[in-house]
Amino acid sequence: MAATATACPAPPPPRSLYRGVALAAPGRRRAGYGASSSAARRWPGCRRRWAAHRIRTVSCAYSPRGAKTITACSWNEYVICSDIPVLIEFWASWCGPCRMVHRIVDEIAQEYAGRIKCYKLDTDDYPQVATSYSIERIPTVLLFKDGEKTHSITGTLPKAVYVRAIEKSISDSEQ
Amino acid sequence: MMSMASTTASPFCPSPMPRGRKCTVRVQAGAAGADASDKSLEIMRKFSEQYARRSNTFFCSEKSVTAVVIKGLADHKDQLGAPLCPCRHYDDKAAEVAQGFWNCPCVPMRERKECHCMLFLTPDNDFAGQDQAITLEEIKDATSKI
Repeated sequence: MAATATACPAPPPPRSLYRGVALAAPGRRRAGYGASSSAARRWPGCRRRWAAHRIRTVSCAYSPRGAKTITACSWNEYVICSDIPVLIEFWASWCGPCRMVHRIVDEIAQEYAGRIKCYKLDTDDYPQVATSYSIERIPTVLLFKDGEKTHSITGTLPKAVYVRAIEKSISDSEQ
Repeated sequence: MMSMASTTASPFCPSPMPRGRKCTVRVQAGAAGADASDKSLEIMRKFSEQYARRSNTFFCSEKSVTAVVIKGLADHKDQLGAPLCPCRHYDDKAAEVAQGFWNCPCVPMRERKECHCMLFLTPDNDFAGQDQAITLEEIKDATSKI
């Protein structure tokens, strides 16, 4: 006597399960952050590099010990990719002569507004940047043109010394 | 803490998160500054006066420079055990203290009377003042305006 096939096979799983396998939508980046910053808009080439850093968590070239700091990234945008010469003063809280150089740099920033950019960097807050540029003595002022360091002025010197270096950077840049 | 005031926007804090981190660092630094003891400040003040007299050097004509450096030395003495020069950038402060080259008075000062902090200035230096004395009040006044 042939066995009667009374049991039916289990029904196939509901079709909706297959739709659930779709890839999740990628997370949206926070508004106003990253590539949408004004600096990134101004320098499209920099935005790609900057965005690459944000997405792939690439270490910045200017953090030799692998520290990933926004400052190192901002450095690349504001200094390396600047279209006009840049002056950076390296200082520390309890460095007495730094106070004198502060005043000189503040005056220069006003007198050369639009023709150069002036920034100050606290070496205690951002030691990697200071280390990557071999800063030893403080105060040290660096000048950059087209992303290259053109002058390094160490110690407390008369304002004319800084002005001379700046004028040279500007005239070279305007050729 | 030294102000980051500048006529241009700070490029080093383009978004809230780094600024927050930086505030943390600043708070710590501020706390460290607040921890600088009057005892160390007085020790470094006395040392500076004595050393200026012994080495025939003079404090800066702008006494706030002198005051800030002495404060920096006192901070390092409290934090590191020795008055490491506050006008240099170090990769490893503890190692530098152990080596001693930049402990005040540093080797360049001892050997050649070269003090890039402008704490001890030879009489011929353009910035040299007439004083070999500074009061604790002068130091506190000059270093409380941060």
